[in-house]
Amino acid sequence: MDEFSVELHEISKRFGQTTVVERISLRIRSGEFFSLLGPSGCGKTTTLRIIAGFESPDSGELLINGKLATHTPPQERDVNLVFQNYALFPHLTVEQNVAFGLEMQKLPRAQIRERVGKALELVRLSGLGARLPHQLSGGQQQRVALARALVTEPSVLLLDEPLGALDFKLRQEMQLELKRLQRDLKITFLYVTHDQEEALKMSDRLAVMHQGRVLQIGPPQEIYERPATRFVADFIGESNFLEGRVVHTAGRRAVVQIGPLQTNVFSDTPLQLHQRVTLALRPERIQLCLPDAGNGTWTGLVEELIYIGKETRYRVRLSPEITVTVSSPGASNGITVGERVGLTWDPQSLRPIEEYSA
Amino acid sequence: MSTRTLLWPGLVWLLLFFAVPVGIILVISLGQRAPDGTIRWGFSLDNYLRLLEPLYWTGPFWNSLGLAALTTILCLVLGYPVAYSIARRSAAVKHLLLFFVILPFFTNFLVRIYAWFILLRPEGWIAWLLRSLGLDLALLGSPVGVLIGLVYGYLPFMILPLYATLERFDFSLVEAAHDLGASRWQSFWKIIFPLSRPGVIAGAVLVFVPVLGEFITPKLLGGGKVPMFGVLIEEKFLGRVPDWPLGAAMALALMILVSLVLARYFQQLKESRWVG
Repeated sequence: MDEFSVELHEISKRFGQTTVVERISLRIRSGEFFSLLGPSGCGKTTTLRIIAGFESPDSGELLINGKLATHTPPQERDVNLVFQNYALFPHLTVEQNVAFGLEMQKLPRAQIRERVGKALELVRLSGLGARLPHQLSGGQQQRVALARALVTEPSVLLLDEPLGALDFKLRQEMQLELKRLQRDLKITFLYVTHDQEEALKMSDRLAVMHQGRVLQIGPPQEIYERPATRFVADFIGESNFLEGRVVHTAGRRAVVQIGPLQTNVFSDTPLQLHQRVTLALRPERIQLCLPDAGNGTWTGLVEELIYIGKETRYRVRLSPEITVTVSSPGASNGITVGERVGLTWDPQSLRPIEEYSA
Repeated sequence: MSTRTLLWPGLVWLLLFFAVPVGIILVISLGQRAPDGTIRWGFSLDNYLRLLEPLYWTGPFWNSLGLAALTTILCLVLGYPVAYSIARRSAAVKHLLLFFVILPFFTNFLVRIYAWFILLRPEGWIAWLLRSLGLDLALLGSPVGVLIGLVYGYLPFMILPLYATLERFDFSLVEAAHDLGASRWQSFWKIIFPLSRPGVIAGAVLVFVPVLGEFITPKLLGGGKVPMFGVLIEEKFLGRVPDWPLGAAMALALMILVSLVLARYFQQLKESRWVG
């Protein structure tokens, strides 16, 4: 088995005047659950369609299982796609839908029947084989689409927002189920989604895409804790952005002046003295404390307070120009609008990011 | 106003201009031809029994059935790729191409068939071209000429319903078929064609049924040498030796046959369970 299931080298694709995918390079490991995450129109679906063979890239190379496949027709690729709208054949029964790929391989009838039965069992649809797609619920149709794509045992399964059409509860269930399938079958899953929570929850690694480019690749924790760009920090979770200037450096540590405030920053790459810098700080990484506690804490005025059940969100004004959002679990513990509060955080949570003008 | 009230104008129209005339035809068909060519009223099934005579069975009837079937098949084979190709264009190109499909309707049918009369003449350029290719084929006054005219005349009636079906077709199904290993040929026969069946059936009915009763095209391009049922009916009413009762019986027999075809059509549509 090759180390990489899918490799993209400098893949670009334009539609007319617009560049949809711009020089994307990715290497997806065998047996990995890899997600392409980004807002709609970021090029993630086009990238998936290039891998499936429905679009031909204008430049760059695509390798599937180590073999060049840039211009191989879709029917000859060892990848199957689960379509966003499922694309079940409406005139064929569930069994016939699942059997389709095996029939194209001209396998003996008995073997087809056996494998179809197993695939339906795998997605917990045994007993519904004789139904037509329109007689099934959305969740069941989704399972048929999965079984149909998995039954031919492709080395890579491509999934294009497969849970987008399902309601919240069912989506949660299917996320776990997909993860289970992927672990049991040890197939490479390449998952396209715009739902950051879904991507963080399911992926071994993910790539964040924006405007046809890959901004950052890494495991969920790295993407969340150490976003490389402002876009990533904002799209995945939420961030407060603080703009300042470096006034003192000492190795990996620097002191940044933000308006009237100062703070310590630790950075992987040393910051330069007098450099302008943008810092990202997640609302849930800020704790409220007593005002005027000194010791690197900041003090501000609660301007707004919203209780949303699992957490309470505060808008705290630190200076006429600077406000930050803080979220802390549970109810507000007696803090009211207009009250002065102190803010504190783990210095590791405050991260300088690349100012990416997108 | 209830929706039932909306039915009335149409119902009255149908009653006056369909049910009543059919009733009149039925009454005529039960009469007899008087020696002077007028109708002698009566109540006999003689005319219908006469239809079973080989004279009607062998020639005109089979000609009509055969030509209608052949026209339908040719229209399907020629029309399907056209409809498919139009359905896959961008919206602007689609509308332009559809306009070209219905453009012939802007000209009178008779005029267009006369145009074919000129094209298919032995001294016309098509015959000349065929002759220079070594094919001495009689076009005018032969079933081939009639067939050309019929296919020409009815092709749009095949293309339009096929287009309507294919235009709504979800082509991600074709991608799914390719993805699962189907060749273009396989995805056509396993996915596209079965799913376009309602359009195929509608087109087939719209071509087959009217061609069965056609008389203008065979009369002009067949030059009386290609007897078809429709021509025979027309002659019984307007010919030199009129026989209205027999003509009426023939018209009704044809109508019953067509109704049977239509009943089969609605049956087929009902079997397309996945629709709706």
